[in-house]
Amino acid sequence: MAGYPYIMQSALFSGSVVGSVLAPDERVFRNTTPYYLRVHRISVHAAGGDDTRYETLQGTGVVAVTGVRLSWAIRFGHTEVTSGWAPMAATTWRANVDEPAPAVYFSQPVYLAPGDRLDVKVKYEGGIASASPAFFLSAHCSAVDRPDAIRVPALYGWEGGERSANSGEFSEEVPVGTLYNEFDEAMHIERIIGRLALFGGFSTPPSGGDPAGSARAYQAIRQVFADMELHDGSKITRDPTPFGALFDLARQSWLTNFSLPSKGYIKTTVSGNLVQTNGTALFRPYIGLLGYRTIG
Amino acid sequence: MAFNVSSQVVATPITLRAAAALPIAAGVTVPVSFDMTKLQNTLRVPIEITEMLVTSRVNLLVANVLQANAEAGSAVELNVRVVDRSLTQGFVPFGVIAPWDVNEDEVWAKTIQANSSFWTSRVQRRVIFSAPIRLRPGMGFSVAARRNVPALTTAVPLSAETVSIAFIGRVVPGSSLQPTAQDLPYWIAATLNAPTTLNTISTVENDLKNGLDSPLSVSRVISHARKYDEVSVYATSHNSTPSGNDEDALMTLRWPNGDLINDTPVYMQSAFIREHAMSGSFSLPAASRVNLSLEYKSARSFNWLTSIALFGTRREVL
Repeated sequence: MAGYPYIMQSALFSGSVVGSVLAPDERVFRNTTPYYLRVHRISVHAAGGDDTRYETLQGTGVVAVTGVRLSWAIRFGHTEVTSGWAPMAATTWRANVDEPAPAVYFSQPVYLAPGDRLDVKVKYEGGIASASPAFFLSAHCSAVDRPDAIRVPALYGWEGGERSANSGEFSEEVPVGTLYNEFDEAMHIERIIGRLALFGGFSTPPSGGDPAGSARAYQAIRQVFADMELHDGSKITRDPTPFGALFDLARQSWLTNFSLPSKGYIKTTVSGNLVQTNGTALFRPYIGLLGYRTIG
Repeated sequence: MAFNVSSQVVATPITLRAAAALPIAAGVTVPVSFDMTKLQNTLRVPIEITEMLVTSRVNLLVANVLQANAEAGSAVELNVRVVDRSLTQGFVPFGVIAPWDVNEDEVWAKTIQANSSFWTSRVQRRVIFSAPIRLRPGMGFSVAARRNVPALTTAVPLSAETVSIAFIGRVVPGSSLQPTAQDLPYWIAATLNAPTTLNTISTVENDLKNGLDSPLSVSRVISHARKYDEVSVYATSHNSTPSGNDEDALMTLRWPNGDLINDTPVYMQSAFIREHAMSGSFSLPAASRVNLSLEYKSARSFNWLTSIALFGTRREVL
């Protein structure tokens, strides 16, 4: 069976997410094949709701109609991938798409050994409108022979505070322990993800934004800034930089490809001045990173 | 035509394009052939085709009908050949020529043009070939298109559907050697019908069978679902797999060696998310097949057609 695609999937919660006082879903996928499974992507997508065209998570790990925000915790075997809960809006990414995806795509090969388990927990927070999506979890893999190097991903993310479109000036720091390499080996950071989620409860789209259901927040990306430096004080942004300039609008990430040493971290300050005058949009900033570690 | 810039040769781009109008009728319409002379290398030098772009456009002849959801391409099927080699196994649905790209969303296509007389739907599918197709002078493509939809509505009349196909490439630098064999793309597709009268359907025997004499290296499995309604019937494309709330189609896919795609049937939503393609290449031997069955847990008030295609390449001499 080596060389064939292999999908592991499970239905998750289905029903109203208003209030979102739901117990987290936990699923365990086990590699029952005699091969290594190369994991191409892990996704949580929503079906149903009021517009089946948005059958996947519209926006940034946020179901726009209901406003519910998803977080996940992922483990490959005994290895933590997300270091506890990580907001999906900060840790999903795919290439070459002018819209965020409800999945994280691993462009470098990452593997599950035979017999290993893939643990995924999903939690749902802050549902507003009364729709009843059905969530599905899936992992797309290929069965392969033993690779030369065993690599696992690292997905860390942070969710900022919710703000209205004309809430004025603000500044938030991403806690130091969030984008932090706790491991004894260096971590390759492929990309830093940055998004402004526009979600739930609005009746009028923000000026310049897309119709209801989109999370691009065109206006806000000029008004919200990210300033980043490494643990040793090295600046990686010279000045506070608009989200739209730092995080490619289409891919919503910054391709960095650098090595974060053991115990190193990225310090981030998100600041801005939201002064949109129309609409009742609500924004949240998200910062995350997608990296890889070689463990065998 | 090519000019030298220092030590590099810059290749001249080239596009071969033809269009055809397909009549609107229920059932399988008579295929319309595209003008072959427009899809032929009429230069005296070889060209390489790297990309195929298919566009379908249809006008809905009802003023300002925002709720009309007939969509271009949803009923179109294509038969593509290069020289005497088939690139499609018979006619394959437009929707599975390439995975759905969010930039080609049918909603945007429908908003292109609306006035008091008609409402236009325009949808594209783009395929970038993994290896260019080299055409010597005089060689070309031959394409036929037809519509295939079980029923039509008279409430929302459609104009003729115009399908255009463009092969995009470049002029080959004169110093380049002609390849002995080429990797030619190939589509094998099957369409499964889930009528409302049945709550569960399972299908498939000889669909998705490699009819070539050589193995096919499959790089993608592509899906596309579309619905039609017996009452107010539109040839519409849903651009999604059936909703988990409504259809909950469970898919069982078996590879040629009999192994399942998973230990248990997979929700189509899980298998084909967003881009409606599954990656992970494998070799489909000649005369071998992939088995697919779809089981719908429930059915809504409209019928579904779900198409699945295997897309890959095989090595042949042109």
